[in-house]
Amino acid sequence: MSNLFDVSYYNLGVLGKNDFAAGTGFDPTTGRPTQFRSVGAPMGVWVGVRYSSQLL
Amino acid sequence: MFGGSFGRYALEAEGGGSRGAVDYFATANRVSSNGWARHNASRVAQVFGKVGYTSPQTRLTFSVTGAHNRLSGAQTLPLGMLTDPTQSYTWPDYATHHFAAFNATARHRLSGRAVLAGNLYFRRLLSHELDSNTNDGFNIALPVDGANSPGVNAVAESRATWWPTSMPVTGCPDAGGHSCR
Repeated sequence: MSNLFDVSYYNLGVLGKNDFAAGTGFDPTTGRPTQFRSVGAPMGVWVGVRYSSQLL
Repeated sequence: MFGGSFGRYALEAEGGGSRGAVDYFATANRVSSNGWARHNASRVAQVFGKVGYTSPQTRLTFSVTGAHNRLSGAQTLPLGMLTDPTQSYTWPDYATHHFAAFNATARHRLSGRAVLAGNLYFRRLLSHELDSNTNDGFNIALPVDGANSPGVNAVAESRATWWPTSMPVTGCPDAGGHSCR
């Protein structure tokens, strides 16, 4: 069983050219076609409080 | 209010009530996040307030709405960069919205069958969006300057202002005994 809580996921994928693929910084002439993926947000933890009263 | 991961917190407050013929309500909220990835922080601030006056023949209200938001987006990453998914391929990518609105309404019953009603408002929205991209035409052999930049940014900006388009004066004809609401 893997990824039981669905914490590793992608929510978008497109095809594009990676202009940093050559490992020598930015160079559009050595760009390589590749998948581009949009990574889903990881899990987080938030804690909150709510207060209400009759003021007037 | 809440707070937690990624520097994300929210504050929200609201209140309202009435005294005699006057009623009022106000709310404000603030959400802020540093984002779970780099260059991914967003801020939202919104306020709304309204006061009203009611008498047997008359109803008046005045409300104010405001927003000051900046939302940053996460881009797609090439497969080779997914080893650290908090990276950005290019940045910044964000949209800002600044909004203000004022609205006044009045309604007065002239007689059993006639009502005078009007609405006066002013709204203004300033939007700014920036999407950074790499420049396919960049030549690394040439010096970087205005004509040879590694990045090209798509910038969209809009300003919109609304003024009242109508001030309706509503009369209620005798509609077969139906009362005017």
